[in-house]
Amino acid sequence: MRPLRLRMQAFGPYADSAEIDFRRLTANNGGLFLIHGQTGAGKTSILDAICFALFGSSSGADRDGESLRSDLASADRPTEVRFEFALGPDIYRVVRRPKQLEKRKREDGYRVANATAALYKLARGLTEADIDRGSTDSWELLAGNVKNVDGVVIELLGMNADQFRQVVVLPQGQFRRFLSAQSGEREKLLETLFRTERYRRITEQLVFKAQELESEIKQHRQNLEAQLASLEIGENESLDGRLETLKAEAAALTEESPLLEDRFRLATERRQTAQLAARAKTELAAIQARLAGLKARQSEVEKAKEKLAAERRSRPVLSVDQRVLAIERDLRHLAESEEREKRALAAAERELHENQAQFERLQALAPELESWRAERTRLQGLWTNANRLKDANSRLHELNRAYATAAEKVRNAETALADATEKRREKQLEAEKFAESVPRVEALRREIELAKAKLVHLTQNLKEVDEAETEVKIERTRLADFEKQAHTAAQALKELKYGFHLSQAAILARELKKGEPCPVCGSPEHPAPARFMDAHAAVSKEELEAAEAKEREASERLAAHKTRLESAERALKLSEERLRAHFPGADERIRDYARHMREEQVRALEGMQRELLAAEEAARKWHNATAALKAVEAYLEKAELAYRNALSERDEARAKFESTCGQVAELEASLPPEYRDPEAIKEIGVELKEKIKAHEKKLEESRQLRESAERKVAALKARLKTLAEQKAMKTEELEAESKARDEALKASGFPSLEECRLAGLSERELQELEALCRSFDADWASANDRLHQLEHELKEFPDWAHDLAARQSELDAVDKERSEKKARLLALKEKISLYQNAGERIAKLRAEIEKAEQRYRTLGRLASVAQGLPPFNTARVNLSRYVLASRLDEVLEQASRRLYKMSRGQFILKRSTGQEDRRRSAGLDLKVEDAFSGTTRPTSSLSGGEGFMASLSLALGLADVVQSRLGGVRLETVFVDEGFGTLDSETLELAMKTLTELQAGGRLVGVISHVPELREQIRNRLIVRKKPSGSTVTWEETLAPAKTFTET
Amino acid sequence: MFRFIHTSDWHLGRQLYGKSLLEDQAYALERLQELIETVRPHALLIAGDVFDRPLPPEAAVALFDRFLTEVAGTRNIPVLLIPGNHDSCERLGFASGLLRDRGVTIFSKVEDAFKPVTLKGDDGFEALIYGIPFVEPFEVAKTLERDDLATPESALEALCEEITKRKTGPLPSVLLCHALVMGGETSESEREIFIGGSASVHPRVFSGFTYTALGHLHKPQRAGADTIRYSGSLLPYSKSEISHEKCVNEVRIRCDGAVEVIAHHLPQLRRLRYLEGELAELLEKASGDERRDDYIIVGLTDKGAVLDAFAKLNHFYPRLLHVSRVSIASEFDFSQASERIRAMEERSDLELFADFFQSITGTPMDDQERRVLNEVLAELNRGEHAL
Repeated sequence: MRPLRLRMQAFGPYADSAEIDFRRLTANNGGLFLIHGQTGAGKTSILDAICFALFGSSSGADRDGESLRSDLASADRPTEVRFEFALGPDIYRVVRRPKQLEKRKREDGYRVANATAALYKLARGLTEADIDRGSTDSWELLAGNVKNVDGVVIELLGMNADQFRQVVVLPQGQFRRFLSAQSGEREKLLETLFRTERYRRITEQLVFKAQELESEIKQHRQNLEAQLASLEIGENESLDGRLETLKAEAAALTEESPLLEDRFRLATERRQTAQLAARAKTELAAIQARLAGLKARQSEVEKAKEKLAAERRSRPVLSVDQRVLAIERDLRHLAESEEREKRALAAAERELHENQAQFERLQALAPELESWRAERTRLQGLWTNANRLKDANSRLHELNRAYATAAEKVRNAETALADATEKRREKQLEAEKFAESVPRVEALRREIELAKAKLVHLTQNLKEVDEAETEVKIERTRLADFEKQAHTAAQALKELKYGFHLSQAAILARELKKGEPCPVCGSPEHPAPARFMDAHAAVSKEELEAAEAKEREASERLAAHKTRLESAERALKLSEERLRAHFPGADERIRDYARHMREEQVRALEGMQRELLAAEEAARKWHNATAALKAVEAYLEKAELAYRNALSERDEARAKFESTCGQVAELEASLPPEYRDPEAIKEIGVELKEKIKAHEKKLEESRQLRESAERKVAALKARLKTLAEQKAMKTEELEAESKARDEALKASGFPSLEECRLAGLSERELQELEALCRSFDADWASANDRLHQLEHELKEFPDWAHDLAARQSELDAVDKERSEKKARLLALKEKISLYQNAGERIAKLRAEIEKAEQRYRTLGRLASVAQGLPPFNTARVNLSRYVLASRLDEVLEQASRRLYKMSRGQFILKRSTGQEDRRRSAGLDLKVEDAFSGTTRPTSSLSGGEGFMASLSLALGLADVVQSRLGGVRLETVFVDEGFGTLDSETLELAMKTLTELQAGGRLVGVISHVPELREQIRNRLIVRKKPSGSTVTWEETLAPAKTFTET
Repeated sequence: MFRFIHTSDWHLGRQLYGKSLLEDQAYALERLQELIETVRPHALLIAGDVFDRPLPPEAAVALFDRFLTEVAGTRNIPVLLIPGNHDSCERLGFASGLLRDRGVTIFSKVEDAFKPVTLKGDDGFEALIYGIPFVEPFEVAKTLERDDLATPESALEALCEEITKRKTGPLPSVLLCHALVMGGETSESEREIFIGGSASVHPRVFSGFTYTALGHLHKPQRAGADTIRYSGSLLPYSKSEISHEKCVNEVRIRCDGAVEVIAHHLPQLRRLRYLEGELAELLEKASGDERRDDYIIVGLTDKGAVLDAFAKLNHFYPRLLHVSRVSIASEFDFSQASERIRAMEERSDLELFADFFQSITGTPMDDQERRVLNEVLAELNRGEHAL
């Protein structure tokens, strides 16, 4: 696990947001860095933050999650830690907040916000340089709540918080814990670290398996006993004996069996025979009974036969008789029909008569009908005209209106025209008014320009003159000054000269000796030698020269100024001349004159400008008027046109109106007044039409009725004729048949017809009688035959066959014996096989039990050894512990390697293996072997510095072994929090060497210390500063300039 | 001719196995003073690591003060020195500006590299002495306003180039420099000069100088050329230096530019000795040892346990520094250890159990036991896989 970037917000002493970018170390190829700062500034908090971000708990036991919030943080900054780290090629980010009070968003006050956590993984292909540049798409959410994040982190890192604190973060004073811990505690830690629960599980499994086997064996034994019990045997031997006996019995039965079968067969045959005999006897008796019955019915049958004969005789007579009766019936029917028809005919004729009369009546009305029709035609014509009249009237109305409109239009057009003309005149006048103003404007503008130019020039000149005058004045004053100065200087000089001369004289005078000639005048007498006078104290040559110089200067300046004045005066004259040029005829006081003139000119100019404005206004007005005039003229044309159109329209309308009036008059003449309304006409016409139609209908109906009545009469007449003919025929037939019947009767021998009729039988009766006779005869014959047959048969049977009962009982006895013996044999066979199976099973069971017991012995031994229990394991060391001990040995080997180096061969760490301790957790105690004394001593006897070395070596050794054992766990980082202060400078060097080696091996090594030597030696330093507003943490600028890294 | 003495790595105030070596260092410096008296050099050059710590003990500072006063003050020999990786530039360079005028030049800032000292030798022959203090490469980068100097080599190269550029005139030049030059042999007592990157410097960097007086390695040696040399440390500071002949270099630069180097051995007050053998032997020899006052480091070769070795030996050797067991040192050979661990890793559960079984019961597992165990393990694995 390599840290990449850590951001702490409102966490511990970091009130604001503090970020540490560990990637700068990679850029600088330095894996060793120092975190330093004042006590309480927040160094250890950095490690706390890392632990918190990963596991939700901090590095030391005395800082719990909820007290992590910074006291100085502002209310709207929640406590949060964001940590990005790399595990091999993958990069992860975890963001976590502890449970804390959060400010409510919409109201005052606080609420408790629960702890949150989120874990992300950077998308494939992106590198650590991208962790600040990536968008939210680059990060894949792996877990979104505290529980899941905790679980995933532990899985990814391969260790939990405790292990992490032992192996990666070696907290203040805490890693010495491992060194001086009790065996039990050490055992627990090593167990979690090295995941030896597997061995515990193996032990448990062995025990479990042994127990399982034990109960299995028990079950088998029970099974065996049950089986033996079910066979009702106590010992094995009688099972076999029993088996023998049964087998013998079975064999005997099997031998007997065929004989028995034979006997059975014989008995069955004999019984069968007896049965046949008995049956024959029974049948004989039955036949005899039957015959008797038949005899009883004999007389009945005779009678039936007689009846049959009589019927045969009557048959021919009766057939003729039938015919006769039929004909008589027919005749009767015919007579009835004739009557009926006659009556119908009479009615039909009466009807016909009536219909005819009706028809003739209607026909008489024919001429009236004609007149109605003619009327109708006339009405048609009238109606047409009436319509035309109506149209014409309405048109007339419209036309009148149109005419009125047209007249109106004409009047309007006239008015418009007059208006337009008037307007035109107005506009024309206006335009003329302002015509002249346009050229005036131009002229005025030109004049003004000229005047302006002149004025400017004049003003300029005036100014010049004024200036020149001022100049002259100034110069004059200056000149006065200078003259004064020059005068003063001259005066001073004169005085000084005088003084000088005097002093010279005085000097000379000093040297004067009486009688010696004076150097000045040569006189030997010196009546009044010059003296130094106070007023003219000794003046040196230098002073004089100075004063001369000054005087010279002053007069020079004066001369210069005089020249200046002269030139100024000249300038003034020039400008006055120029001014004069403006007013050639002017007098002396040109300046005043000029000023006066200027003012006048200004006034004149103003006047002109005002005029110009007025003229411009007039010109504008002229333009407007001209435009308006044009518009009006156009309008006038349009109005004229409109007027002409209106006139013509009106004339048209009038013409149309008059023509229509004429049409109306015509039509009115052609129509009588009552027929002028087409609607009325129509009504009358319709009425008439109805009348005609009704009449025609009636006529047609009557005709049809008459025709149908005629047809009816004719039909009836025909029917009557037919009936008469049929009647005649039937009468003839009757006669013939009656004659035939009489003849047949005679032949039959019946006395009368009635008797003959009686003898007739229906078909059914006939059949019954015949059947009866037939069956009786048949029965009688067969019964007799059978009787003879049976009598014969019975004679054939042997004597024993007549005793059925005896035969039956014989058979039963044999059968019973046979089946009993069969059953017994079957039972025997079953029991035999049962016993045989049982024997096998029991043998197998015994073998299994044997095997299982053997296995159990082995398992038991293994389990007891694994558990560390006697009798097999007297060392009281169980499997887990053994493994742990060997792991611990590995750790100590690695640790000793480092310690040996750090202590320059004095110390190594060992595990105490002695049996002195009967406690179960013995075997994991640590001792230090001291080369100086050659003995081992407990780790608690080490001094502060020695203890630190030992603890550090141990922690690093632990980390080494954990890493190589846990496979994928990569511990590329280790943090050491304090402890270096207890070392002397030599040991410190050695400790530094160890740390340097570590980082050379590719690890990131972070050291928290305030020891100055380390500050000097470790180049990469994180400074934590404590401020009243919270702490800050920054890299000291000994690293290569930032831009080699962040310029990505 | 220009003649000077080149020495370095005094580490005044250093302790060896907890014992202060100040007395011996004072003795050595006295001998050095005598040598100076004899040789009469035109300058004394100290190439760094004057003290052992940035904040040295008072006695060490006093010692140096006395030395400097005597040599530079009383005898007026110009002394030029640079801070090494054990010194603090700022502290060692205290009042260096003022001292320059009094014959003591301390090149304590990077810029000082461009302010050489011109010294006169015999017959007006002059030489230029340059000095580069030991600083982190980033300091050099800051001063030269470059951002590509991340290693000691690149920093020194840049500085030497700049010095050569600014050099005018044909005078021979001597450079004082504290660095690890390629090919140099290290001892146990040197501290890593640059953590996290390549620390060594190629000798070609110094090709522009007539002689380069190096400091840092404690063994006297040349480094890539005859004119690029380490003078070695004042005293032996670790076991590995016992075989070195500690010395200082007398360097003569002749007018024709030729360079001659003579090594002068510095006698030591007490030797540092390493004795190896079994305790009994050593004790026997000890009683006949004449130099019992020496600093002794002992390596015991006994295979078995030895009791109170230190106390027993200390009886004879009052300055016994350290006792260690060399026989078991080989056990801590790294490669062996990792082999062992790897071998352990590959042991299967079965083998592990078998070892355990044997160690507990004294007898190995028989076939049946192995079989049963295998079955149980297989079942356990299946169960685990199913989860």
